[in-house]
Amino acid sequence: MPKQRNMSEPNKISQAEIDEINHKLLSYITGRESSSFEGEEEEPTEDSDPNDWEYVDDTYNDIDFSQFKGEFKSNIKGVQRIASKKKPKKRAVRKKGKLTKRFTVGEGEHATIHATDQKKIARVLVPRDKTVIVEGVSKFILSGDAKDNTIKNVGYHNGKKLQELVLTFNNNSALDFNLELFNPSEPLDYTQSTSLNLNDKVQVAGGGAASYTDVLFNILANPPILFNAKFTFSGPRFLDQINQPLIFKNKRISGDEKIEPMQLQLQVDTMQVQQNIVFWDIVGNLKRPYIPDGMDVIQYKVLAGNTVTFAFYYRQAMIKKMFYKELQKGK
Amino acid sequence: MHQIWDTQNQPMSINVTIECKGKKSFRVWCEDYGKKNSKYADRVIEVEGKRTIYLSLPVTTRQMFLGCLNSQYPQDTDFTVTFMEAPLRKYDIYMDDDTKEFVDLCIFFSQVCGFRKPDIKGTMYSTKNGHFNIKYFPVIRDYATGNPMTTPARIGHDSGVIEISAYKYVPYTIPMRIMILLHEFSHKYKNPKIGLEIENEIGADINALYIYLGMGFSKIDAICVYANVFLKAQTPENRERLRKILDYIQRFENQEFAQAA
Repeated sequence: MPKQRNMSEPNKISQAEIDEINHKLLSYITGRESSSFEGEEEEPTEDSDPNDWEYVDDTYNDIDFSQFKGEFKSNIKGVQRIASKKKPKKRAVRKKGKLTKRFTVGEGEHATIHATDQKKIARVLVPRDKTVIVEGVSKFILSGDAKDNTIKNVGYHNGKKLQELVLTFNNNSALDFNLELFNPSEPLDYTQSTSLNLNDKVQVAGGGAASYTDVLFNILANPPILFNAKFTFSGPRFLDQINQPLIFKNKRISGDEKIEPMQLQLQVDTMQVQQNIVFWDIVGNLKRPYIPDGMDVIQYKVLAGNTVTFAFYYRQAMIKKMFYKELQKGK
Repeated sequence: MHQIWDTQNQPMSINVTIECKGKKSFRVWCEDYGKKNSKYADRVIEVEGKRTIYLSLPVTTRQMFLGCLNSQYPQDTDFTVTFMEAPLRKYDIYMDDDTKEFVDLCIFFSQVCGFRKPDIKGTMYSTKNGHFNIKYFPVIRDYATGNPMTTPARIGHDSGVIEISAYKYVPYTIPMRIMILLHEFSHKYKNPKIGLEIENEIGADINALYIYLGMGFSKIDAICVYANVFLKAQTPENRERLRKILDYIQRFENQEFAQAA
């Protein structure tokens, strides 16, 4: 929307000057002043500076005004035609005819509904005990398979909506970025660095209120359980990025660790058009609940130039609620 | 080839440099980004090798769309275009308070009328104190017969209300619309102030051009809009008017009537 201007600034011009301007205009309009349009062309004086003509639009030189009655007309018409040229938009015109919709009613039975008028069929009401399948809807939506349900349940667990933790890794450096996700000792690798900061490399969505290191310290006392996730990849090498494995390292203080690599490529829904989003059931694939507690970490590599967004769906236990009754009552 | 320019409502000039092989014809235009019928400049130029033109934009919006295409073969990509911001050339002109008030309304109306539909009975745009009024019609009709008229604008000599025909007005660029409005305004409010009759057409033309060029608007749009009107009525008076307009523009640019700011 254009902004309304306000030109009401005080005039800094005397009445005598105003009269002079008006007089000049009046003399010019009434023709009491000689016009040099058809007269002799004035030679530029020594004082005239060619730079004065900078930023002056000279495109009207293309128009030949010398013969007003003849060529002028066609030239101006051409200019005007081009100036007001607008390509008419092609509008989709619905072909008239009978509207029909074909339905599958029960096993091997079909029904076709014919509409009598030209209005689009918006609602179809059928008896409750009849199976109605509207053709054209993705089979994925209608499917009741466990595999499809897994994807449909992303963001939910046992019917309850989960909270979302979104981490963005924007690797705009020339080097690949290796990290151990949910490892609270990783920020210590950056303590001696004067130019690098882990919080610049991993960002937490949500308006910048919490940084990644805040998350790391918070989960030590309040371990979340991550049920499922949605990963999004973009960048020049996003296919290579999808091929990067997630390596789950469950370490123990005894000094041993259990490594479980997971291949994201296998989780790509091939029916997706862009194939840059991966829905992932963590519990179903790991065969154990994943609860980052400082030692249970995910090793991952973000390739140079790529951007990866991890959205984890979780439920978090708040340890302070266990100790203080006052918090248990409040929300 | 196009670019979205963050103009942030600031006055400016944009240098458009086109380089191509051989001789080609290009259409260069600038419009309010995302708004239909809101062109601030629209030019077709011939380029042989390299050429720079300057688009004068004394009024802009938050974001402007700058486009450049081969006007004969829009698919042609074998050329380069550079858009560069430059200071706007303006002039030290005198505007009384009435003129300033009207110019505010005139610019606002010209910027929005392309995408705001007029009511069949006319939509009124007024200044805060109601001193100046623009009534926006789908088409102007003759009050006596009710027949549609071809004029893009007219002013009531008694009421001072300017009537605008959307049918004629929408295809114009914003500077063209401003030029027409200033012409109508000058009839009623400028001509009498310098001792001319309200009906004096040349007086209205020159007074309007003084304000229009002084604010830094492009002369191309002014010439095109006048030429477009005069083409339909090539009377000796109109020919004289166009000669006078072209002469005045040339002399205005030579700073005979106002100094460059």
